[in-house]
Amino acid sequence: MLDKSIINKCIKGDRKAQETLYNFYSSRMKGVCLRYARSSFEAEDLFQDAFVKIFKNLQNYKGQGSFDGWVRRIVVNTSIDYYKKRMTQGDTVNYEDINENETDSKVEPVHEVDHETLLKLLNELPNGYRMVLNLYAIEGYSHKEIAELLEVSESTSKSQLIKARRYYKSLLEKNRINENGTRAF
Amino acid sequence: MEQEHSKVDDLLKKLHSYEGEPMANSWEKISARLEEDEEKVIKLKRDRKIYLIGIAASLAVMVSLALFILSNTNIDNPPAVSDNTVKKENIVPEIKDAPNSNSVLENTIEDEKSIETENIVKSTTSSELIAVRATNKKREVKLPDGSRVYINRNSEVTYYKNFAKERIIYLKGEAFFEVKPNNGQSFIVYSNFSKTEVIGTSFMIRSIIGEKTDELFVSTGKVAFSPLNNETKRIYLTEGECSKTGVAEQLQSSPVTDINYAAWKTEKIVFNNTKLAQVISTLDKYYATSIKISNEEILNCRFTGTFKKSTIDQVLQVLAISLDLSSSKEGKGYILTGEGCQ
Repeated sequence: MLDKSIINKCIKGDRKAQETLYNFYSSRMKGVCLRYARSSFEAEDLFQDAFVKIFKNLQNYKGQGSFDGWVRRIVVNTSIDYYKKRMTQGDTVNYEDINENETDSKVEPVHEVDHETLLKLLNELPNGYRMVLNLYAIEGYSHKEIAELLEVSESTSKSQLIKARRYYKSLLEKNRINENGTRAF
Repeated sequence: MEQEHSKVDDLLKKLHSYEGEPMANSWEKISARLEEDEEKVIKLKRDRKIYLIGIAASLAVMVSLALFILSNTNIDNPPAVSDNTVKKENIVPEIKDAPNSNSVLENTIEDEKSIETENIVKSTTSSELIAVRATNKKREVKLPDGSRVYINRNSEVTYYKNFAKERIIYLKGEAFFEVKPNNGQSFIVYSNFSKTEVIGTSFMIRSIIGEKTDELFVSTGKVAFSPLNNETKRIYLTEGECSKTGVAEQLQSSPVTDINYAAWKTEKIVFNNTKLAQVISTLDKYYATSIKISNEEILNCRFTGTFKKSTIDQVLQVLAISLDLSSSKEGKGYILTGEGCQ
């Protein structure tokens, strides 16, 4: 947690204090952006936009709730805003293509999935799926909150989540097969 | 009711505290943006046209739009930012269907002039940053040196007003350049992954967010092309050649095979004994649609013909007649049905 005086200095435009705050949160928040983005390039754009927003809105932080949470929320909202508009445009995946039998047949995700792989597969998801999985599974938002954020109905949020999990599971499975495949050779 | 406490969720939770490395110059860029804001040099053009097309409803929206444009132009740190006042103009395009290119040009020039007069009040230097953005319609812009840029939809170019000392352009998206020679002074385009340097020539760059590479097509003259992160890997391309560069790619040049790469600019599509697979992919891109086929045999067909300013319906009609197919709407796209070719 950052010292309150640093926040005050930041509001006054003290560049040194702003840099301190930036350094304090940068790698964690870059991590958040990487989860929401499709590429590291887009993540960097989101990251910079989010930090500009953070500094410009600091005076609106009323000290209710943790500052960490406030910062993270701005980063999440910045990411959501960006992809919300692109939720249908970029989604070229035909959802019906996912074979139900394949994915419902007790696929146990392999235990050793490293962070990099998890992230890589997450980045591959269609925008809508990626948003809902991030918000629900990782961030812990409720369907009600997600519905408001994404401007969809709660039932859409629920069904998207189920489809998103299924889709992600199939990506995990595909990835596992590929890895085993390369090992066999 | 599915109250699945999913394994997927458990796995993904591991990413909750995932950390990433910001780019080396992130802070400088953020800091520069904050500075500009404080000095209130971002002067927003309250253009009536902006309201007409309903892009900016409030100042807040405009500010975020301006920031968006700025963030998209931060490809490289422009050298003159620090010691000069930086201004950004948010020009929202309003080119209606352009019956001839002259009117487009006039329009553009008018735009540029109005910026100039508006800026004189505060302007102290010539290094204001100008961002020209095309959203729904492509745009044509005359640059300070007389060169021209044709900007495709959803693309934008940024440059210093009057080009200051150098001719440098920052590109996001797709644009076709016609560069006027200027006493041997080079003309440089920076995009996602690449740097393109010319003296006087015409070429097109495709640098779309989400795509893994930047592509260059050379129409005339000679162009130096290099990855953004390693200028020593520069290669030279001449007329009719193309190349692409991504994050870690070896640069190579090859002859242009897609003769329709600049169709969005010329509004002309040419097919010359072209396989239907290629025809469909060209049409999909040009009309931003999706054309499906009822059976694979159709892809074996070849088609020859030229379309100028045609609608997709006209094109498909011609295609259908010449190849004995029929075309119909399907969802948001089209489907071609028929026996196809051997």
